[in-house]
Amino acid sequence: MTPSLPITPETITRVTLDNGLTVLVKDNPNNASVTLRGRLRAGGLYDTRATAGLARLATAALQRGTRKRTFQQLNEELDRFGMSFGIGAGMETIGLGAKSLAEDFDRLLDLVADVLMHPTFPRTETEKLRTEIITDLKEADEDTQHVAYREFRALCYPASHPYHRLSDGRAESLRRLSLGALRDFHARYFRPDVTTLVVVGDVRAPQAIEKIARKFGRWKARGPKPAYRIPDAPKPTQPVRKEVRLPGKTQADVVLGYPGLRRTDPDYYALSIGDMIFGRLGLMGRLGANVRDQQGLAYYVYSAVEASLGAGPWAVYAGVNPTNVERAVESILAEFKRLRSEPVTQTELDEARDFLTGSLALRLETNEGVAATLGDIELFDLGLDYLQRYPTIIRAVTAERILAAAEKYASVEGYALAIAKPASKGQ
Amino acid sequence: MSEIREAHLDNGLMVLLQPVRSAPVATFWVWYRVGSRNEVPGKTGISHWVEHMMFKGTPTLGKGEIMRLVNRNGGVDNAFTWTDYTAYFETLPSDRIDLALRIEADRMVNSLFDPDEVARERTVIISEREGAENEPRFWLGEEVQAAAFKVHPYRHDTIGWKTDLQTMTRDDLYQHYKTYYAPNNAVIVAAGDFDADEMLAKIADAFGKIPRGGDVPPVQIVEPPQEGERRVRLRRPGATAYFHAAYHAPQASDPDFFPMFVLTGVLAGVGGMSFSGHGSPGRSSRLYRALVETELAADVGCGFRPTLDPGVVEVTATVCPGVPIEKVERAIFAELEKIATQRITDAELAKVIQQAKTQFVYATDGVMNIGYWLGQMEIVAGYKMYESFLDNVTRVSKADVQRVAAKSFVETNRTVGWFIPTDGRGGKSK
Repeated sequence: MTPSLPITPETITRVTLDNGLTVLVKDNPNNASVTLRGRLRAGGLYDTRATAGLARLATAALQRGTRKRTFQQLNEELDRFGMSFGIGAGMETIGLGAKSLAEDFDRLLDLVADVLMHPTFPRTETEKLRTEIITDLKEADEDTQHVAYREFRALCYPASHPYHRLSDGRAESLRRLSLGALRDFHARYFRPDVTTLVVVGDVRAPQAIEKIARKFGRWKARGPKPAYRIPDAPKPTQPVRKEVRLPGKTQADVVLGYPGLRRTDPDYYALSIGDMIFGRLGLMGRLGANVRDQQGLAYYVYSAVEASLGAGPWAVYAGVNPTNVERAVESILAEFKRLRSEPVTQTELDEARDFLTGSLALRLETNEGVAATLGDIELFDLGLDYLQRYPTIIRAVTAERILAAAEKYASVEGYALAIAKPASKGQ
Repeated sequence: MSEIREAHLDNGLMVLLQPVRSAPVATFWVWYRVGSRNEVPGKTGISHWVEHMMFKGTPTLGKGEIMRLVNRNGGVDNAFTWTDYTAYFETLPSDRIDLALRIEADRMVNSLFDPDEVARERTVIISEREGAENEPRFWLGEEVQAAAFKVHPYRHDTIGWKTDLQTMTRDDLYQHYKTYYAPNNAVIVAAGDFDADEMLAKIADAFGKIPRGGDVPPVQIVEPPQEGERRVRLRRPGATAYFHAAYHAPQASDPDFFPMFVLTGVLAGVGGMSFSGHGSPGRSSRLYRALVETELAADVGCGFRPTLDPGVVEVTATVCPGVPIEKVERAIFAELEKIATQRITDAELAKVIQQAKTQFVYATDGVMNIGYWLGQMEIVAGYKMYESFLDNVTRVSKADVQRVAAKSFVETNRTVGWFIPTDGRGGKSK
């Protein structure tokens, strides 16, 4: 239907190098820049309670010094050429993003390869980083949105599940992590056969691949691939609720939801379209219409399905005046109930499906947008013809399938609810 | 990219068109020359509240329908209010862009301001403010702003004071709308996959019938020169201490704007110029080296935005726990003193110019960014500032930077804010 789709099997070059590194390239001469995105199948899922934050600290520390560059030299080089580079660990993947003018692409690649392959974890710079991260955690501990989400995750997933914790880590565990532990993490999990690089911009595909092969060719995976497994999460059997009070706050932040599904789950499209109708489309869907527009209770109230390699949560997020918390919670529960007991209307379904298929042009307009989409296609093994099949996939979702998915995931028996609110009224 | 096309309709509406034919997408903006700068005491936050009401319906488009229609056609839309402007946009597949013209022409004059909707939106706006109040930096920023400006309306945040949000009436809002929302006080900016002649004809058709509005009341308030340091010490619960200093600085149309832009680049790097805020990290900058590398601060930043009237340049820092805030202040002042007394190096100047050039290339990937920059520049200094931006940055000399630093970074021109945490215990569970 859309002849100009930038991602098809014909327009993308996809190569797996001898060392297992997967490379995808899309040539786009319209902007004189290049966007590089990378993803490794590794992350906070390998942290334990005692090492919480290891993936985060080890990954951030890669930029603090390499065989060829001190931290200061690396920063100087990035700034001198107006390049950007960042790398960070999430729960399921470690992601990197980099950007340069097309003429500086070789330089950018050299720097990224150096960081991924040859970090040195210099003591002084790594200690500074540790202090920065601990300060950041201290601030997060007083941030109502963050605290509500953190407590929600702890309620929603059992202690044995990686999603029980955030990949951010905790100050207590971060203080104890040794430089050796960071080095080990890098040696074990940073390997070409779990890594994908996506290049989009003003480059020719064959040359880009040749350059990447030259810079990354000597990167070798040692030993067998580490096991990668995120267990299923049990369904909640009863409502669980936790409140945290924070001094000096005005507003309460609320997170209410359930364990969701994996991106590869057959129910994914039905649940995510149901979720668009529920709390995203227009001004935050049905939730926005009810809680914000009709009752004036909240500036923000929306829902999200975090479907990744593991079954992330399906939850509602809202910020409300502390006196309105119970009213907001009741309204959110009522909307969940409606979604799992009545089919969505034909108009709602048409609106959501038209948006998803119609907005492809917008999502694929920029280098960043194409790179993000390609990254997901690779991570979830969707195939390079995914966008060609996409309209058919979306049109196949019916009101009945949405109802079934909502029934399955918005459990009648229980939910997890976390609230972070002011310590005393009238603050 | 082709030339920017400028046109004016008989009713005073200004039109700026930038065809970009690289993807089948177009963005359509209406910029109104009104923001918190135009607000008077007792009515602060009114521009932002009017922006919210613009989504609440007209006789032909019901409440919530604008966003639903835009989404249904594969597009996105939003709006935002700042000191000098209120902007609305739709970005759509280019074959659907007519919808944006229909929506914007309609709500320029036909928004209803239903009293019940105003009442419901009051609590939503207060909730928006209360969300910001959960953030220590918001309190500190608001205090510093109010101290730095004695009389100019830049002294209050665009969200407005809470008591004003509690007391403003439907008629206040409607009058504000009727005063400022008119073709002669608006600028249309469109960028993307369209032919300029065709787009102009469509705009004339959709907006040409709207009558010119009355003259907009001018903002005559001029902030008097500051003649002594001002200090705010805010004591509230928080995780750590925060530092915030503000110095009066040139407006976008002042020839000293560009030396100040380069100066802030040397201090903290050229921040993200794209709408999505993808910026250089600035970790080789002077402030990062002096504050973060020395472990005095967990992060440091320097903010300077193009404004219509003289604004401020701000330096902010998150103090590392355990470090006395006085030490952070001394280190920051020492850097500002240094740049005012010694010239920057050739390498520093070259680095900032290169950063600005690359940021400009990045910012032109995507029609939304182009619409944003073009509109913003037009409001604060005329859109030609967008076209000549890089030339002007390139012309800045080391002597210009030092001169502007010496003029601005003086004790009598500064307002200093400290956020002192009264409770660092963290959350308590119940």
